[in-house]
Amino acid sequence: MAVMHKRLFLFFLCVLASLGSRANRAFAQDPELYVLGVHPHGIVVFDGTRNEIVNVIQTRGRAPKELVPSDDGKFLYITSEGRADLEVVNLQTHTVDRVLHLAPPGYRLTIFGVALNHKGDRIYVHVKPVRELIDRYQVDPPQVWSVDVATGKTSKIAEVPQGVVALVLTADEHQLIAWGRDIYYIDISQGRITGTFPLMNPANPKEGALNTLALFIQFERSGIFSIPYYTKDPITNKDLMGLVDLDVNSGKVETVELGDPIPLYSAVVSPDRKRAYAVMNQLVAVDLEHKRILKTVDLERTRYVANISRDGKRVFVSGAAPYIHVYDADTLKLIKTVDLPGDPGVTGFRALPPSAAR
Amino acid sequence: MSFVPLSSLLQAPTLAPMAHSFAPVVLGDHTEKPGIQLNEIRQFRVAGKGYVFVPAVTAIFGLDELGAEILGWLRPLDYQSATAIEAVQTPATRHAVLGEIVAAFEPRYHRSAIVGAIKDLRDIGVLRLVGFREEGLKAPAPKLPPMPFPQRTLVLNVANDCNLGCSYCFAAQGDYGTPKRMMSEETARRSVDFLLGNSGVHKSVTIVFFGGEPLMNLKLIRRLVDYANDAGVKAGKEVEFTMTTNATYLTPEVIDFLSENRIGVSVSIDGPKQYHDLRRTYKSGHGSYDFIRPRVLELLSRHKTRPIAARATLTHGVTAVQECFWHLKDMGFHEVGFAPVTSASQDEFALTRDEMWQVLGEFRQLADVYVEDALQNRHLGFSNVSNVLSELHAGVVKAYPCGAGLGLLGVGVDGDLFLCHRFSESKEHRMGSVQEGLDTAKQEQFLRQAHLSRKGGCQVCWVRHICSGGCHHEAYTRHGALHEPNAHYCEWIRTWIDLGLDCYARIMDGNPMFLEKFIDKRGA
Amino acid sequence: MNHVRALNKKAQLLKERAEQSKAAQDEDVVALQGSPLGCSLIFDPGWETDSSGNVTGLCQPVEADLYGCYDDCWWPAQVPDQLTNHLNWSDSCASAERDWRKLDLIYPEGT
Repeated sequence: MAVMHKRLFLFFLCVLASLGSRANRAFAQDPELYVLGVHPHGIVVFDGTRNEIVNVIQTRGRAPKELVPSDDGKFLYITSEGRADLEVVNLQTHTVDRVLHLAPPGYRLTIFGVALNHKGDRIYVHVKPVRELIDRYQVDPPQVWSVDVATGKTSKIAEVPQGVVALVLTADEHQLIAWGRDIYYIDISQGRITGTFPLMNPANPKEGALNTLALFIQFERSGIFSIPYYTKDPITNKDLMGLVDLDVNSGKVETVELGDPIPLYSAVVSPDRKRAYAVMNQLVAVDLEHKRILKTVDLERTRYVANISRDGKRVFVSGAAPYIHVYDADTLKLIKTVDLPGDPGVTGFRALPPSAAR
Repeated sequence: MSFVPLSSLLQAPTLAPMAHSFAPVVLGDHTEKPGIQLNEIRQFRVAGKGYVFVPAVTAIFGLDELGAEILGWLRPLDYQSATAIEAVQTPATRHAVLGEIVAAFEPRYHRSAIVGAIKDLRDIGVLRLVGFREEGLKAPAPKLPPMPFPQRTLVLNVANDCNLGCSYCFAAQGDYGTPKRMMSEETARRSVDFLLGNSGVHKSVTIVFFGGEPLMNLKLIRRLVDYANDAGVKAGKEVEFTMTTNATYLTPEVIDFLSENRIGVSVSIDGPKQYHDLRRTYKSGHGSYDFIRPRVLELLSRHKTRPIAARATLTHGVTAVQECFWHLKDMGFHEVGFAPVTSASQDEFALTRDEMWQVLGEFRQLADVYVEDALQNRHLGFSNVSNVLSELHAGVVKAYPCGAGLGLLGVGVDGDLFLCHRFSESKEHRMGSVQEGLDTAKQEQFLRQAHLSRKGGCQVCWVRHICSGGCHHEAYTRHGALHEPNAHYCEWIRTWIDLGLDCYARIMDGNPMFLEKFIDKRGA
Repeated sequence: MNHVRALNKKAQLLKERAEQSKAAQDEDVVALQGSPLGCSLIFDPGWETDSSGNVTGLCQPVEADLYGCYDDCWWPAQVPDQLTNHLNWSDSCASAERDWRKLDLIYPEGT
């Protein structure tokens, strides 16, 4: 009971804090924190309750892109230097602990897709290796590797088709889901692709191909990895769009057709899974229950990525230009503009798991 | 010449990247054994002669003995039963290289003849030479017909009421479950205007008077026929009329009117009294046969300007097709057609599975008579066979089972447009109105969803381009879903089409002029 | 054709077609046909304009798009090669829109 009262008290303080006053750090034990990368060498830690930047961490390599927090909220794994390196960012000391150069001698790597296990001691990466020979480059097939965090040792799990940009580890840690031209299910112990959800290569050739770009990964609030798709219905010859929703825990995929296309880069699903918010030159609110677009507002500038508050009431939009814009999730009215120290580019924008120590 | 950044003090590395094409990782094995591969076909023999049906394009070929034997060697006939679904590749098909086939047939045939036969078969799409850059025939890619699709036929619910109470009526004993009403003249005129205005390239259009019992609104029909004829002249189009009636309102005056205005008539009559009165009763339960018989005979003797057809519905206990057929023919009908009743499986008048196959047996026997007559240049008038022959002769490749929602629409009593007359007054299937116009968004949605390519179960069936999943209303009634294929009929339909192919082959090789004379003229 | 007889109209068509042209088989032009729109991993030529032929559907403003698009090689824009030769040309310019004056310029050696 006593604990409950204390929690309530803290909650009230947080609420007060979010109304603009500067909260006493000692009481704000569980703020909503987000991370995103900025050019040229930064990770911005953003407090989503106060709508303020609370820290900027310097990375070792240039232009952080993919960001993957550990389950306990203590570490953040990022790719940098043109997605060639993996850096381990310590979120408690706000420094980079280590840089993992995964490329073997004579190779250069591009990493598209990073997934971390629950314990935080194993990372899975999708790599595109290029071998630097004396007089030319030799492109090797893209593949998925397992990396031991402690030693940095890598081992190959499976080769995958070209085009994978995202990697998700299922909750039971037996499968990796690789999102590329299609969605591939990789059985880790078997070391091969055991299933495919067709997108660009539909099972029925008389259906249109679903074109997706799963470059923006922010499913942590809802467990649904949602990406807009574009297709042409071969019967009516009409362009259509929708969302491809991947449940990262079960691996199930659902498509939600929405109608006439609006170019959109990415989507984030609300914690209650009832809504999705997608963004590019518009911010679009989607009713997932009734499978229709609720509201669209034009944006002043292009944004790539959005995330959503824990209570589902605010949408944070970023990417491309150096701002985070905070929107009201119902009215889609702009609440606040937060300046960033650099361009976020195509970096990720992730919600950090709650952590005891901050 | 190399480039350096202004702020850099170091030399950049001098590796020059070259363009490389990416080798995709190929998953899955697409290799076929080289040699000769059968495409999707259905081969059959009639009176010893060999024939082949190519489902992809609905083409029918006769084969000489060598051709038929080669096909039989590649896949023996007894592997296919009349009711089997034929997939593109069945395990029973033998892979063979050219040399093997030649060796198998050489003692009896010349090598050049064997190779010539294989080439002919290849040219018509029956088989392909694997590894030689050749493919099977592609069926047309699925796409919507060009829009706006010209209207050809409107079925008007001129009287949302009926004096009979036939137990199987899909219109809920005549009023589709909505208040009894007559169509107003205003609505009827709008319907004619709608039809003519949207008829596109068609030189002639058809108005079907339906209901309920259309003759309950004879006054409207009289006026509408005049209006439509005038409007047709103004629009430069021919207007044809037909009517489906229960025959209870046929008086000499009515019959004369029908005859003078060249209105084709289809009488709903199920056969001799003992069958007809089982279902086609007044609301009191009293049979209608005795009342309509003299009226029908009067119609057949007075109305000479258009063929008069009998439409008989087969129901539980009413399956004696031949008996009914001859009875109706003896009455004087030019054409008799049978339709198994559309029912939910638990309806008391629904045909059982056994009865369906009994019906098919009777159809087969009647079809034999049809063929014998055809060979003598006589048309028996068994509509079911005429219809299937017509489709086979044309080689239809149907994306939809019928013209509903396309060139044919039903008009409800208030002017609402529906997929067809069976969906009249059904709000769910409303597609606009003759007053407001066709709801093209709904139409497009329907056409998209109803397209054959969306019917997963149909894709491996060799009659798919003729059946196309079957009647939408049948599917709706039996399965609760408009776009489901009529799975309860599949085996039956395949057997029926087999029978149709049999008849077709016999007539084409016995008296090819018959089809041109009697069938071709029927039109789509 | 000696071994087959065309019976129905479709068969006639096939036979005529086969007799007229043995070698020529028309193939549908599939390249770029039905290529769905959208930012994607397939090669979509024509990113210079959006699907309506204008630039309003593209990323706005273009400076905001610079780091997003050049760094992963999404478009072959007129920027220095950042894959091999000039990895750090934009390090001094945190935000292209605000700090474009700080972008490094690349000159031929010796000039």
